[in-house]
Amino acid sequence: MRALSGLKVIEWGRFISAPYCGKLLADLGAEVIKVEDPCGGDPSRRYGPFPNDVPHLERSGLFLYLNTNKLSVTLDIHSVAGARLFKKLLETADVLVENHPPAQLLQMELDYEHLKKCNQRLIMTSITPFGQTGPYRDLKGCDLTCFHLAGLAITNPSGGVDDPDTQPPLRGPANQADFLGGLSAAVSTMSAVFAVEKTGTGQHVDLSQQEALASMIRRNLGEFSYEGLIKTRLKGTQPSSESVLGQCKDGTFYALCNTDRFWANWLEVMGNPDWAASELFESRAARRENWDAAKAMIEDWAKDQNLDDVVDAASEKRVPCMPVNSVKGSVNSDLFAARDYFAEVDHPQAGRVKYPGAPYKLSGTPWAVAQPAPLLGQHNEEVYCKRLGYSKEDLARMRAAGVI
Amino acid sequence: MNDLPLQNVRVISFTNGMAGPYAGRLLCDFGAEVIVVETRKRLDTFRRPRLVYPKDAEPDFDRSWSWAEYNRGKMSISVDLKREEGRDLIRRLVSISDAAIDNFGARVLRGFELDYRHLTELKPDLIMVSMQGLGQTGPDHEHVLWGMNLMPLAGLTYEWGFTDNPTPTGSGGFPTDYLAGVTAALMLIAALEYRDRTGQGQFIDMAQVENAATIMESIYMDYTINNRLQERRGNSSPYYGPYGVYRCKGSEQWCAIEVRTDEEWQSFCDAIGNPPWTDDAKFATVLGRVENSAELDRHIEEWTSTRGHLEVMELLQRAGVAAGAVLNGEDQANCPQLLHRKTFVQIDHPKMGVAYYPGVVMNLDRSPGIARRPAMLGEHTEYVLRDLLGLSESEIHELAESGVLT
Repeated sequence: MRALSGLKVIEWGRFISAPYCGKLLADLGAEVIKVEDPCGGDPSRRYGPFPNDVPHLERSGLFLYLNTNKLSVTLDIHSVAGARLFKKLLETADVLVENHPPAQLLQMELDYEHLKKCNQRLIMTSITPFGQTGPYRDLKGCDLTCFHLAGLAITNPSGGVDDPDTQPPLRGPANQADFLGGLSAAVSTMSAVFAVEKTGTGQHVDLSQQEALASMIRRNLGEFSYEGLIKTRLKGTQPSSESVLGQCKDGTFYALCNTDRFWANWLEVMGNPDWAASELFESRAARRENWDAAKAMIEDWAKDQNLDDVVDAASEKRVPCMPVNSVKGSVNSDLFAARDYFAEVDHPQAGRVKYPGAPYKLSGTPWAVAQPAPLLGQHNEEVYCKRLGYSKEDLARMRAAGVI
Repeated sequence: MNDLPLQNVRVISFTNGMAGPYAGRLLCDFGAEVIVVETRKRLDTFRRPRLVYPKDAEPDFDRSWSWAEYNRGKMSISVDLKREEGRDLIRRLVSISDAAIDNFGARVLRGFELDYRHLTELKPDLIMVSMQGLGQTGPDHEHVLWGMNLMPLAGLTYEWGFTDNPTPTGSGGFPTDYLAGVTAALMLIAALEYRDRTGQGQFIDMAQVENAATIMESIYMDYTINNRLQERRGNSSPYYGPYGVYRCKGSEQWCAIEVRTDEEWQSFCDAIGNPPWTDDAKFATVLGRVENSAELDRHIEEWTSTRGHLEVMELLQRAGVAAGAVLNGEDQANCPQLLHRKTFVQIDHPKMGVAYYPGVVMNLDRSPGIARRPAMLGEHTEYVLRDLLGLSESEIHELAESGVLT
């Protein structure tokens, strides 16, 4: 038995935010039925990366990762019969997760007010760039826009830039706004699931990605609202990180010297260079003030070093100093291997590949990949016939009519 | 209050910094009673009064705005865990609670014999999440890591940088702390669900470094599938164009623009008045726009740099193009959407007065969360000892006199 065994989720989502929310619930043991368009399915099937860069609907790395442990059914929601089928699915479900524009749902009469008529206990989780209300409700937003509109990029790159008018604020790698949106939606959904046990009534969970993100990393907003500061991104004006990215001959390290002990030990790692005796660096307060100067000296020293030597010496002196791993370094690191983080998953079309695993270990209800990402419409018969009671002839008829 | 989903759930919080406190704050928003175990002898990183509110107030750990943000809504009990009497109080408290959160170093609670193994002897169906940087197992799990130094291990720092820059720049914010916090809250609620159905509690061992890895998705998959290291992408995309952050009129003003389809490209051209260069055949297809992105971006900046960032956003959005102004702190505070959604709320505090805090962002229409004020250190010690543990006034007095409640 798994933590969420018995929870029935319908996921009508595309790309990342809703599918990631669905994945989190599926990985915890919920039954997640992914509703896909018969023509091509979830757009992430067309996104890649594909083996040898050959596009194939069943071999997109992004899709495979986001959809483990789910079932897939197809239906054309724009057709009358398809919409009826969709509502039939919702009658027996606990949760619907979706990420479509609010105006589109209203126009299709698939908004919460309509859908709750199929099932009073239904929890509907809507993940959109700006939420279901407010002046931006119908604006368009994707990962890049949400990341920047939430103010997440304004502190990047770390340490500021030489010319803040030509070097733009920098978003992070991958689609973080979509992932954080999906994750925030999952926790909100679970609290609604918890509530329905007591009240017997479902509700609408309205998750705005901009809002979820803006409430997280609030450094600039905090500085403005508590201290009245409007910060420039100019180098030298940033709060001192007391950290450095050092480029060695063969790689990069990240070192953190935010205590007197770390600093003293780090100087030993560098062989106690003469420059460090300067009064610029004599106290923690002085170092915070002059960190850019210290950083420049460390960067200069790093150029002639081997990465492993630096990391080993720092580890011996107990200074937090890490290799800046590429994904190759991470996938092959002892660290992840020791926790069995990466999972080998067999997929009928994509073969056997390592996937990032679950970022948690539950002692009572452990995580596993019970099944790889589904093929498009793989579970039509299981879901439509065995659960909803359609006959195989019905299925053939719906297939011929393009409904599924 | 009665409608809150996690009402009647009590969570004990052995936390410091951001990740653990953020998990607790979400549970608090959903109605849980979260009690932070603190001591004046070793303050939370953010209690150390560097940033106080109001700005010119005397240094005071009860006025730290960053602690207040991460911990608003919780209760605070001050107990010295180095004293046996203090540990005894906490054992009794845990035995009448539902769950615990721990993001201290891996050795801390073990040393106090307040780790999961010991606590379940008192409370067999306890749910506990420990969320160290490297988890509770593995070769280096006792190393102390924070968001900033675990990101390099997961490959996140390596990929963080401008496309044309040979070295990574790193990030000034630490999304992994929040990722870990939200994930921990999700795990706790899922485990509560499971406990309510089966009577079984459990231990949740989270490694924050693995959280960082979960969001790397296709960057990892490209390596495991094709043995390829993807390039740093910065604000650009290999699939779409125009796609990036463009300079606008004024100092440090920028707007992000994402055009994904040919239809959106047409709308984009119309919105900027169809200047002659938009007819150039090399920009007619997505492939052409990606291949010639440097030239395309120069043309676009000619247009954006004569307009404010909010104006660029509005003109493009009106045409159906995804565009978002890069908001600084002031822009965020004035953003009509965030104001409408009550993303920030005013809360009064006995020492800090009225200030803006992060609101509740998990919008449930029937049981919306609640944003309560942050506690002062030890503010709820008496409530916990007297009302929850049933200690007499003289017992409490004695504990206070002997320095256990500092």
